[in-house]
Amino acid sequence: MKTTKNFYEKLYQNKVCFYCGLFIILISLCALLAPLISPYSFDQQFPSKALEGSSLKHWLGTDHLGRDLLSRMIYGSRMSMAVGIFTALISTFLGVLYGLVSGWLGGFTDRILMRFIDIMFSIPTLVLLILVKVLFDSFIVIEHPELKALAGTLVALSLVSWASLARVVRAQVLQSKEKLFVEASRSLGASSFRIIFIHILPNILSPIIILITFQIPSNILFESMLSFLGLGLQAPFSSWGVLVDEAWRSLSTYPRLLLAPGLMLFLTMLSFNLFGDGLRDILDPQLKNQI
Amino acid sequence: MKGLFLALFLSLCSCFFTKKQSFYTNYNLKESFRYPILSEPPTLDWNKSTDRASALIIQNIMEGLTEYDFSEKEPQVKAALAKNWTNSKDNKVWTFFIKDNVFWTDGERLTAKHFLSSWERLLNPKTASEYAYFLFPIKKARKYNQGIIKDFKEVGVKIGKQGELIVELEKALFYFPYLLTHTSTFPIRTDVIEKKKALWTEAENIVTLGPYKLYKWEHDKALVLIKNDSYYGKAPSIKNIIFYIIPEETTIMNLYQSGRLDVATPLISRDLPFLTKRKDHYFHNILSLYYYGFNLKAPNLKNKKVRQAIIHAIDRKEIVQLLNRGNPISTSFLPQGLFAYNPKIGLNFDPEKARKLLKEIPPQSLPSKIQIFYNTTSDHKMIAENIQSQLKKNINLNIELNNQEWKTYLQRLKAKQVEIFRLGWLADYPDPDNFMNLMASFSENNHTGWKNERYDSLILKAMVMKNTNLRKKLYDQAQKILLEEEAVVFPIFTDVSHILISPRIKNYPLNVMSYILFKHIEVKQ
Amino acid sequence: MSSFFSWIEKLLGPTSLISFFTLTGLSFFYYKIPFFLVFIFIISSLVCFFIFIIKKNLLLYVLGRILEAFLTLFIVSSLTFLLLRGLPGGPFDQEKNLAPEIQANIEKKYHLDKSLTWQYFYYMKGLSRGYLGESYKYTDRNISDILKDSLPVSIQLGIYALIIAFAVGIPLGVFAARKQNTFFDQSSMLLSISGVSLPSFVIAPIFILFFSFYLGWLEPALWEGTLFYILPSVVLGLRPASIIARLTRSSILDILSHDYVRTARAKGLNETSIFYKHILKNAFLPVLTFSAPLIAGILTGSFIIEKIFAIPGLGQHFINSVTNRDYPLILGTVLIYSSLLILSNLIVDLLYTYFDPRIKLS
Repeated sequence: MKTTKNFYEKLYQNKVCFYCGLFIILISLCALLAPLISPYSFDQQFPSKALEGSSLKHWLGTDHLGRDLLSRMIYGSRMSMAVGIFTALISTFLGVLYGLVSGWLGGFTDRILMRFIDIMFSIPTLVLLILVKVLFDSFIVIEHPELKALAGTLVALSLVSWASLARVVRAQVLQSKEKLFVEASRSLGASSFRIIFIHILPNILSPIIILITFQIPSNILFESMLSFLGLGLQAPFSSWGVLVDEAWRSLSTYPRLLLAPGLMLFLTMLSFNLFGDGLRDILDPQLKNQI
Repeated sequence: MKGLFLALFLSLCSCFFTKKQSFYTNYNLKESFRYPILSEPPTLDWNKSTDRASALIIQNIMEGLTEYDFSEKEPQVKAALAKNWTNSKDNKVWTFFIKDNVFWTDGERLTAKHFLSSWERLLNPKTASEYAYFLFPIKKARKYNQGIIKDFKEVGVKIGKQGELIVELEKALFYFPYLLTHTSTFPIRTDVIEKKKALWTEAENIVTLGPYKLYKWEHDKALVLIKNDSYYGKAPSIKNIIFYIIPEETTIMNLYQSGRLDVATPLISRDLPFLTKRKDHYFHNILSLYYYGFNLKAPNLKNKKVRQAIIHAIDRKEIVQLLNRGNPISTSFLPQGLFAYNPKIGLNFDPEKARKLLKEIPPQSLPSKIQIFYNTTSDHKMIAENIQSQLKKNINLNIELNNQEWKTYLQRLKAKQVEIFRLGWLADYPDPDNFMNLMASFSENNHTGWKNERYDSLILKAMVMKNTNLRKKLYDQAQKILLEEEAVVFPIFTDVSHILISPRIKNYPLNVMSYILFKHIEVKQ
Repeated sequence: MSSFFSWIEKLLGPTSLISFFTLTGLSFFYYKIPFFLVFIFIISSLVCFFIFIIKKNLLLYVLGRILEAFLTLFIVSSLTFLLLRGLPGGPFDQEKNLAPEIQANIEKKYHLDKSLTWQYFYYMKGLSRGYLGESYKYTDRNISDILKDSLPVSIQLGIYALIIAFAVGIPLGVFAARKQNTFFDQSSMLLSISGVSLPSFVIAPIFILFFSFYLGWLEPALWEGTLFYILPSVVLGLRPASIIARLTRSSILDILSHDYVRTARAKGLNETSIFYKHILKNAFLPVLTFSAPLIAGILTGSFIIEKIFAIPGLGQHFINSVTNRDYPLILGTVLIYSSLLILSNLIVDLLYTYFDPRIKLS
């Protein structure tokens, strides 16, 4: 209990980290409450008002289809954040599981498992991403429209990003395996399962949490990269990447379209990175050179 | 220390010996024309090339027996390498006399033999050319391509006594000379190919005879054509043509704006409201149709009335306005500007009628949701999204959009795992048969699963007929079956091509086939 | 013998470095690359490499790694081969459907009519002889020719970007660490974390707008000279530069707290000499770890940068070959990437022993 209180105190003291955390919460709220707060729906078209500048009715103006840009930004945050967070969770789950097994079993199994990760790294990320996404989209049918738009990207990103997590977790497990309390409980006859989940996992929790915070912005980045390449979300859903892509297409004629999504993408990534930095300083200052 | 000095000495030496590389942006502007292409030409082997970037280059370094003439209202052909040609009364035997003042860039004179060897190569199954079908109208050509006939001598092409090329067709075909404008039928030097193997299309090996010759080909970066001094015709006015390979439309626009290109095409449709006001903007129709098709095998679309209702419920004008490209809407399956185009045929926008049609269907058999399939590009997305909202608004029909990566989409189309799908068709040759053929039961490009004997017999009859009113009537009848009675496809608009042309360029050819011969272009002094 | 080695090393080490930078400079100013300088560079660096290996007794280790690399490449290519064939749609599917007999002819030409196992063994047989096959999309062109044309461009761009990354990143990190908690430190760290947070496809359009449309100083695209090189190199180098700056700073601060630095200080050594002699060398290790995947990634080209700036590099093939289902080309690009990655991993591991002699490789 004391440590948690200590944590919040430290968090509050670290101003940058605190405000970044606030900003993240704000964005997440925006994403969650998108249907309530956005003035229009993300796909409502006003063809007569296409490409208008900002006005009282449309704060950020409209796009080429006459859709309200602000609403598309708000709904875009929903998709971008969903990809960022869910992918981080899935890939963390996979990575932690893999890292735990590999680190705990050690020996030959560990070598084989780590070699597999090496091989995963040797395939260019973008190629792997596209392969997995195309395969997933063509073979798995999902009914729910919003989920359907996301699922391919989610799965592809998760499958690509778990490997680096697994490496770090394995290293952590190897370290704590040598520690005294593990030795002690092992000599007392505790089962592997018990040792892993009661002793080791809580011990390596803080690096995992920090890793998740760093995973999220990199996932958001990858999602927008995919969308920029035209391989991202299904229409008419928007994400910040989709909006940046649309803005890039009319760079020489309507450069202002780039402003809002570019800025939001930048600010969100910035606050996640700064927040992760702060979190690391608070939770586990020794991790600095590992992550 | 010694090492350091030695290394420095060597480096300095090398700096003295080397020169600046020449680069294309430094070419004399008065003599050059700079044109963007979206992708590296996959091959310049004209027997094998299939795409537009390659065709554009080949058309300017090579010539065929005939070439298009766009001075009339509808496209015509005129002689190019052929002096003239005659045809038998039944349109089955064609004789081409070849110009005798044509020389290849290596000095050899052009003869009918070069045509014969090109066509043999095109049809040879080992060449595996995708456009072999251009010569399928020739007697036994298809059988040779299938490997049933092994000897090319049996195919209906031979060289006459005076060196003329005699072609015997399977069926009477009055538009046969149109096919010979296509790059795949151009003459070829098989002796050069045998000597240089796969590298024969590189700039230092290729042997051509057109107004330009290939001077340099830096893969993925640029191609340079230079005036061919041994060209038999009128010498072109521009000395260098530089093709830059630029994969992004936005980048093309950026480069045009900064004066690095003389032409910007294709333009991004969402930029058009801004661009159409400019003085250097031009646009024209092309013989290409954008259409949606119904998969008749899908249970939701089995009912004719559902299909008719959907077509009636969509206002094409709204789509065209949204695209903002100035596309003429088309209810007909033939694009505007083609023989037999008839704006009166096809189902119009009529939401009342659409609702009435739906009411005639028992409610339990009404589809609750229909899927539209399209491949992922921004324009297709925009159109699909608009159709979705129109159908919701006009007949309260729920549409689910389903976009797919291009090859996945094609595979789905082939396997008929689609409901409503989008496709386009760009004319191979300017004849209605090229379009009407698509929906015949024997066509590989009919993805609707629709079969109609009456339709098949009508278009087969029209195919061998001369351009007359009777032919037009036959096509009208066929279209009525296809578009109104059965409502199998839903034509939306004819494509247009938008282009920005720098004011320093004169006589840039704009035509319905996007057939660009750079020999006509001039630079203003 | 060893004196002969060290003499050669002293001679060739700087030769290799200087010829490398001369080459980079020449290419940056769009001069023709003199062939003999390339030759000198390759020979001198190879000889230096071998001497280094022999001196450190790492010959067996390196041979082992190379053997291992072949195994990895084999597995990677098999895995990619399998994944590829699972993709829906074939290389010759297109808007205009082909007549069945033409389709059959094409499939026969490229052996696509044979069974998958047959094709696999056929490909592997070719691969073992170094033959990567023929492209489906670029008719009659060998994959190795395509790679030979596009890889140098990507390497050229990559080297510029890497030079920017290291030349900006390391000094920035070092000065920030020396002036810890000052305004300079904080602002440069804010700058670098912004660099990490700015996606290249956001920053590239902004730079194009500003530097080539508004100011008119630089070219918006193409690859034909110094003015064309600057924008893409800077955009590509920005992110790694920021990461390197942050890594350098934090690892220096980490080392500053170690005992031996305190000892050195207590001995009364000059602060500057402590910093540059002891700290910098050690602080470079984490940066080195990060460099291996960075180098492979950057040298094989960035698809986004190459697309935006119309650069004829390898990056475009990574995506286009997948969308075209050009199986041999995908496999070729993947193999190039993995070999570069394995190579840079090896070199980085060897460099470890150079920077920190305590590390033993086995």
